Amino acid sequence: MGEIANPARALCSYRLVTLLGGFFFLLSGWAIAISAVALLGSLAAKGSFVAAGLALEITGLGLLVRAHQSFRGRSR
Amino acid sequence: MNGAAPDFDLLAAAVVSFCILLAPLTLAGLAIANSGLGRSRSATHSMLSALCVVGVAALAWCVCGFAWQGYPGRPAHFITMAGTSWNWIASESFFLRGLRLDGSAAALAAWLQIFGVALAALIPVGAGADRWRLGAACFSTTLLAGWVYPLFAHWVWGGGWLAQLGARGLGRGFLDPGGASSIHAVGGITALAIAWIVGPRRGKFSAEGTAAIPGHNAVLVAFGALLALPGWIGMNAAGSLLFAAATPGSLPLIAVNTTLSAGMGALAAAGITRFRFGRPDASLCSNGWFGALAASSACCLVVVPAAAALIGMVAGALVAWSVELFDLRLGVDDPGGSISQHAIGGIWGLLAAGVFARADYAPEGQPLAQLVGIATLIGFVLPLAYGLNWLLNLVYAQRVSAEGEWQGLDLYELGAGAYPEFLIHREDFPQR
Repeated sequence: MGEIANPARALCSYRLVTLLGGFFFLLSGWAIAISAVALLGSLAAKGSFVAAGLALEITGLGLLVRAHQSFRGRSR
Repeated sequence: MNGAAPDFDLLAAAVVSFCILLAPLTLAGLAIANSGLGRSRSATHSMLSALCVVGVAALAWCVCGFAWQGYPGRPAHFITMAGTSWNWIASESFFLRGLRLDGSAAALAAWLQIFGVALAALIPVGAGADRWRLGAACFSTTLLAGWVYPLFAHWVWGGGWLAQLGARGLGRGFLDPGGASSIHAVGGITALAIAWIVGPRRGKFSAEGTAAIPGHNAVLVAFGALLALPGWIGMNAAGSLLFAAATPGSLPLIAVNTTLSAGMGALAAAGITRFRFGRPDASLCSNGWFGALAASSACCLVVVPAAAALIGMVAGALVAWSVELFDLRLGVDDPGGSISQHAIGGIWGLLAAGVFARADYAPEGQPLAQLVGIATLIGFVLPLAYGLNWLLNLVYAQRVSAEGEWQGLDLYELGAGAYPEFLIHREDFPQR
């Protein structure tokens, strides 16, 4: 008990969750950026939300890198 | 860029035509450089991939790409959001029907776009070198040239919503006269998706560390970089005249800025590699040259020469740093340095165009317009390119078999090598 029964399966599910999370963050960040342009009035408010959207996208990129790094060292 | 079609006289049409005729040199330069940065046992495959990819890209763009991309002032679809309409895709006919191929601005833009989409499609060939199947490269190019590229290019160059951000108080709208976003960043981001999907070359990453697999011919790489310069000047100039309402009088500025930027990019990479490794690295210097050229595509028209030199220098430094970052830290195997050259270089150029633009190109909100374009590249184009190539990989395996990779793509897929007089298979490369 407590041991991972199937490490390959655990790796796949970790990779899948990280991958999907990364793409969710990318799309969410973009949605925030364009919504800010469409809905907000002042440049300062638009700028803040566009920066927040970009920060979310960078987080998503980080998750995608982690997801693909799980293949490192694995024979292909 | 306000999304309006420029008025064109005979002189402007002649200048644009001459500039477009230079554009194929960019394709040749990039194809040669990609070939030199790969292994000798896949050199012919790399060049043949370039030929096939250019053909497929041109065909796919003419069949359906122009229908989605369009040109300012021509039919398009709009969606209404928050009380304002957003031009999101063109509604032209397939097979270029409805477009008179005469000396009009729309016809010249279509001609330029055939080379633009071919260049964007060549970029992932460098990232997938030594393991990307020829058929997969062609199918993937169909997706890029038929859907991803035209959609984003419509937003930037076809009078789409990014070009019209100026109407929402963001400067003159998203600025990209030469294609740093629609050609280079889109191609570079697709290259990242391909590098992730096909995975690293065998033996690149192991428990012992990361193996350095150097390109087989640095002379080809440097020659490709030099060959690409006149083509790049032509593409930057033609794009500026067609999409940014520049006049033929601005041609010297564009040429000087593009050349200065490229030179400073190579020098910055030479300085960094001299400092880091004790001697300059020819491949990385060529990568810096290409990265600075990608950055110049956004800035060539809108900055003064001193700023172009600075932007090129930063681009070269960024490329030299990011090649190592992708290779050693992020586990992305990109033999051609395509992601660093075109995605990192292009995105830096877009940002710099907003920050360093001359006063007449930098009204209030311009940097923010550039940031919205960059957010769209990362947040929309990357998922789209990755998703389409992931689906393609389900029905047609993009990576060559282990046997084919060991044998080399030349022998495995083409039946003949580039250098039949000698054949070296070296499986063990020095660990960094």
